[in-house]
Amino acid sequence: MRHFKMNIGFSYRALVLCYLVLFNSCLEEIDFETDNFESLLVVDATITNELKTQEITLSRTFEFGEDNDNIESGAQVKVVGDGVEYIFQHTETGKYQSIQPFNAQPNVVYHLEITTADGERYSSSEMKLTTATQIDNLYAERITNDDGVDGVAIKVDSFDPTNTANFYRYTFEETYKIVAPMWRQEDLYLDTYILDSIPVCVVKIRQRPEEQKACYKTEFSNKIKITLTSGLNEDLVEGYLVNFLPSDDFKISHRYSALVKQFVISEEAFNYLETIQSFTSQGSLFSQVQTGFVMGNISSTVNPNKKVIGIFDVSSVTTQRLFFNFIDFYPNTNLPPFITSCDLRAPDVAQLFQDGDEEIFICSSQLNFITNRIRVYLEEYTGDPPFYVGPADPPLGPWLMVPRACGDCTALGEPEPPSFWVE
Amino acid sequence: MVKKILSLAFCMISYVSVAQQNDALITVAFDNISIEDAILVLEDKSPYRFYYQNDWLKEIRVTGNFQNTSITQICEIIFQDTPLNFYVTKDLKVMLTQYNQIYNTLPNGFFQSKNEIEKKDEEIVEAPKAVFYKESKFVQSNKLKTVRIGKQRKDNVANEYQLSGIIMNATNNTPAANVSVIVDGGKKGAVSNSDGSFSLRLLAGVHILKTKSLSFQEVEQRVVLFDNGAFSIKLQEKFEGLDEVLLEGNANIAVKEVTGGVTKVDVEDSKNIPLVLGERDIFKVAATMPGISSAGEGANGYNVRGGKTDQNLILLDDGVVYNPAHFFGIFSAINPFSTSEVSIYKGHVPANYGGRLSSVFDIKSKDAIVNNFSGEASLGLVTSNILLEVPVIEDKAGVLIGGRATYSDYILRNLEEEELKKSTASFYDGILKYNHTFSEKDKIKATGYYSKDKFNVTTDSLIGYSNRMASLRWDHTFNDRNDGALIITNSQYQFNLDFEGQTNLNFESGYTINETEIKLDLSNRSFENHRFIYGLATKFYGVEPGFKNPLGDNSQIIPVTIADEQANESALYISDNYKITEKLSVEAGLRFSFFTFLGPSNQNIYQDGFPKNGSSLIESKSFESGEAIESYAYPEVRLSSRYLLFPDFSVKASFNNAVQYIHRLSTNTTASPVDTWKLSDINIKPQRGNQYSLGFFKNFDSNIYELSIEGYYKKSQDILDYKTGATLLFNENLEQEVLQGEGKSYGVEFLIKKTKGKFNGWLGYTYSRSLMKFESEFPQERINNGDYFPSNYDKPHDFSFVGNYKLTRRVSFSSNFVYQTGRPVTVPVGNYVIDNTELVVFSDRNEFRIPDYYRLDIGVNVEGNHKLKKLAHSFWTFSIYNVLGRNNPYSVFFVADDGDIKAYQTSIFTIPVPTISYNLKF
Repeated sequence: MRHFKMNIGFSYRALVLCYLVLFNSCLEEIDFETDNFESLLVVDATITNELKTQEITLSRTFEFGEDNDNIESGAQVKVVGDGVEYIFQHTETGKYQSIQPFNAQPNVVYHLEITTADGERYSSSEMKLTTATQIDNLYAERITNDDGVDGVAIKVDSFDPTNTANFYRYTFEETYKIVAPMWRQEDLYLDTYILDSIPVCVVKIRQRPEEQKACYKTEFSNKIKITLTSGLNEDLVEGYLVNFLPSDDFKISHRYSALVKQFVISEEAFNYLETIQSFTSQGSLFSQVQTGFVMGNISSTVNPNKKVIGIFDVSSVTTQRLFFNFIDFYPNTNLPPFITSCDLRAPDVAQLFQDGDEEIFICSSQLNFITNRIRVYLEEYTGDPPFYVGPADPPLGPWLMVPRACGDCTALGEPEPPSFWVE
Repeated sequence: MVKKILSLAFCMISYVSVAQQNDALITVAFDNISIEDAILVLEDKSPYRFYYQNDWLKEIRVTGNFQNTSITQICEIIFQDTPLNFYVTKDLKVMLTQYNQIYNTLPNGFFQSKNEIEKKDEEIVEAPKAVFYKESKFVQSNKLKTVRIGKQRKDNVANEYQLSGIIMNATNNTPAANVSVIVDGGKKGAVSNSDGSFSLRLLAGVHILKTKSLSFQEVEQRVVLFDNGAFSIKLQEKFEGLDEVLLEGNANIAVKEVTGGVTKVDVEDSKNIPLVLGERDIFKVAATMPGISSAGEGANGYNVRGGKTDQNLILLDDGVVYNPAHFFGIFSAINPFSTSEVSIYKGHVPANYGGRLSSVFDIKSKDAIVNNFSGEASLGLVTSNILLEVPVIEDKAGVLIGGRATYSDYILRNLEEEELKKSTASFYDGILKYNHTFSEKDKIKATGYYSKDKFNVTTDSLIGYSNRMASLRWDHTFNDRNDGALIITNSQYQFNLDFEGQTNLNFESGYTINETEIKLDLSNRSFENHRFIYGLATKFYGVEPGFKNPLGDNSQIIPVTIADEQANESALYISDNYKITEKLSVEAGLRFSFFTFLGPSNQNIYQDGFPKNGSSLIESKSFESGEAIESYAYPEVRLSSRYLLFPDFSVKASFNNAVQYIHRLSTNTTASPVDTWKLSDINIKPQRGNQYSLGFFKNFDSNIYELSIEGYYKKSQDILDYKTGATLLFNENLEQEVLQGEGKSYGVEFLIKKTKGKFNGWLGYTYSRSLMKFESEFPQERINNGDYFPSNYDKPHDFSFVGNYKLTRRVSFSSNFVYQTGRPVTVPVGNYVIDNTELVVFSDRNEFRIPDYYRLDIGVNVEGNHKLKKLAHSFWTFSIYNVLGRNNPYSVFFVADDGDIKAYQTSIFTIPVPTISYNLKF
């Protein structure tokens, strides 16, 4: 009897667990095809208080799952403020730059006018420059986030004593140092000559250029990061999480830098971005936010039903950069796993004969691994003890090779440190 | 009939004279001879002739010695102890009567005007002065057994006598307790006590006694009472007769009822229907009926005939319950054990209900049994449920206590996985009801109800919500034509939403709506073929539209409290259920409703002819406490008629309009527990709706099959929606975000039901559309360019089948199949990139549909044995929800993941879900 009861208890628990899992795991990715694709003009137009060549991007919507290559060229773009027209010219892939550098002035109303190549005319509502506010503090901090993941948080503090800024948007550029873990001084190269009217190949070892050991990569943020302070006691942004890097993120392996841009944006822009962002952030399983087309502050001057995407904003911007090293937060800790797995191979080659120290080979596609740089040289393989990668792939050649990224960082980044880089 | 009695009376009068004047004196002796022989002797010795019926004289024997005695005196003596009366006529005749006294004077008032007598025919018979009894009008045409007690004498007709009786069980001759004895259709009554006896004081004369009991068959008996006396009644037991009696009573109700579009959920019958996680759920059963649906498995609320979820008035014992759902919409928050009946008015809504556009769910809880302790309990995998009925005053008052809770929280805490361990999901609900019968005329019922939910959707937010309801109802019968009820209710719905993340933005927030109503509901049956229902109700709303307070020391959140709102909603109503002919009946109702939004309040005033936004705002006008800020008043017509084409085939037509003064606001595609209710105010108008419906109702095979086809067309104005991307919570300028537009829905509902037999169940199919339109001169106040578009719950085809098969007395199977068109969703029509971020542009609202929904459930019910002497009755329910393992999509959404957009679909139950539960009744 007792035994029987225990059995019930066990299966009961298992069943309940099963239910809970049901509630938690009914999410699946699906293939989705756009049913009624509409090609709409997309405007990305923020002019700032920095004196520079201002830039506006025009593009078209593209179908779900396709690549973004629908640039909008041939449009006439101008920003009008205080009776002055700032003309923008198409330079490359949908980017329009102001002919003259200029910066947005406080208390001037600006608006955007666009006439596309197909003759459609759009204009924005009038916008004013927002309050300029400094980033008071940009810092990195080791935290455990809400999902229980350990990592480094990049946070920002900002304070506007006038209490007029209120709406903030952040973008960042992250630059990180990549060190090829299996970089070696030597490299293989192929020397070819004719022997008895047959082209033969000799594999030689030479010194590798130094730059392949440490490289730098820069990436741009691809998330909308906005926050508001209008519901707070003070116009105080405190510890706003601009980016979170899990402790196993390859980007923080050595030295990491982030250039954070703080835009003080208009309320219109904030509401617009908040709405479109909410449409692509995961909600609750049971209730889903009502999506739909959202109008920004740009509209067609001819046909009010013509849809156009995007917002024109005039915002003040400040930037700040930070650096940190992995060991600052994780002393005596193994580095995060490298971005690719560095498996070793010793590719088979058919040796023709040995000429003194030189091994002579028939020049065939078998030697392509030396020239195509999918793999790079690690060290000589002596075959003793035999090095097996796997039973199906016995190492037969004389050289151990690793994936290029493991031995040559230029596979991942630029060898030159950027101008702002400090060690 | 009256004339006959009268002519008989006149006839008698013509013979009446003073008998004593011609008395001849007789000498005779009788020694225990039969009265028949005695009469023969008397006839021999005198000139008198006796007139009688032979069978009256059987077994009566007489003894007496008479010397020169008049015939009158002799008769007086020999008939003294017999049921016979006599009368001596002038022409030497002795008329014998049984029981009846022949009077030589007429009762007072006999010569009233004939009309009056005709009108009051029953009173003549009942008149205490004299009883001219005949198998006639007073007695119903069916043959009743007659019991005579005592005999009529000249001196006993005006008196009251004691009638005692014993009621016995005919099968085993044991006393039958708790049997009601009703005299003359309810004028007097008694209940037999434990030894089966009862006693009544009744006027002399004829009475009809009727017994009523749950366990015995009814018996009707005529009692002719002229003396104190006793008699016994033997009753046959009713074997499982209760259900059948009920069924027979309602057998033809679907056809004969005047109102169309009424759905009744039989709570007891619904226990076999397999439901997810084994939870009996009256709402889910209701949703298998045509015209009632929900947006999806996890969706909160129900859509009735294309209406929004906020358009249903959900009443539990007369009090409103705002959100009777647990865990979004997975479980119902109404304890099925405590529920006695549910009526859903989706077409014609009687005039005594109001305040919502689409429907009324009128849920009545059980009255506690007042003579013995009983209860019901169930143990399920996720919840347990218990209900107790406790007598307080025997036969008068009882208490019902019900409670239900889930142990999911306990389970979550004991799980290994970190994320689940931190999750919480708990709910419970309870009901307490007291019913007290003071007399036949006065009854009081008091109900208290509370439900509570708490769960987190993400790790940093916690949602809690609760419903609270209390109601007090006093039913009073003024007389046999007037009765009424005084009802006081109070309801509250509140939710809170707490956020605790890693920034300075942590907060706790909440919302509360409270309403108190007092209602006087009266009915009158003074006029033949009319039944009037009339009354008035007034309701006070108090809303705390939201507060937000900082949570923790670090939080920089400024406490925000949106000013309270208050309003009064009142209504006067009258309706007449008028039976015009045997075939045609009409229920005509008129409800006049008033709504006043009351101060104190600050109301935004906007410039006319401009969209409501910050720039068209003229001022924020301040109103004082109690000031009537804005009033609305509308007459509501509630008209329904029925025409019986044949006794089992009727056609019903109705026209209804309704007004709704409060609105549920949600930015989600389906309703959620954290949706707020908003009162109509200076900027937000009440919603109004009209519904036309026509239906045909037919019963077959002596009411075993019920068939109905109903069609409806509904149009509503000023229904609420919101601008895409609106923020509705903690928004002081809500009117800038909401839109008011038109709704249109129509449909045809087909239902065939088999009500009896080993195999029973129903099959329903609905074709319906539900559309909305938000048109405005300003583009930002339009949705889909101001054209009609399908609502979020527009599911044109809806098919459902529910079947029960009783294999043996102990084992029954049930099954449930649902097919619905997939609901509309809004999907991307393209992607774009702004500042390295890939985003999607959405289509017009609801242009796409998710795949169709279908699901099959099966269940087996195994009852314990049916031994009579068992302490408790138990049954096991095994069921499998979604047997086919259909992965029914609930929604489709798009998530930005590291710069790319990915499409996901969610489903609530993707695999077959087995459940077992144990139920106990004692």
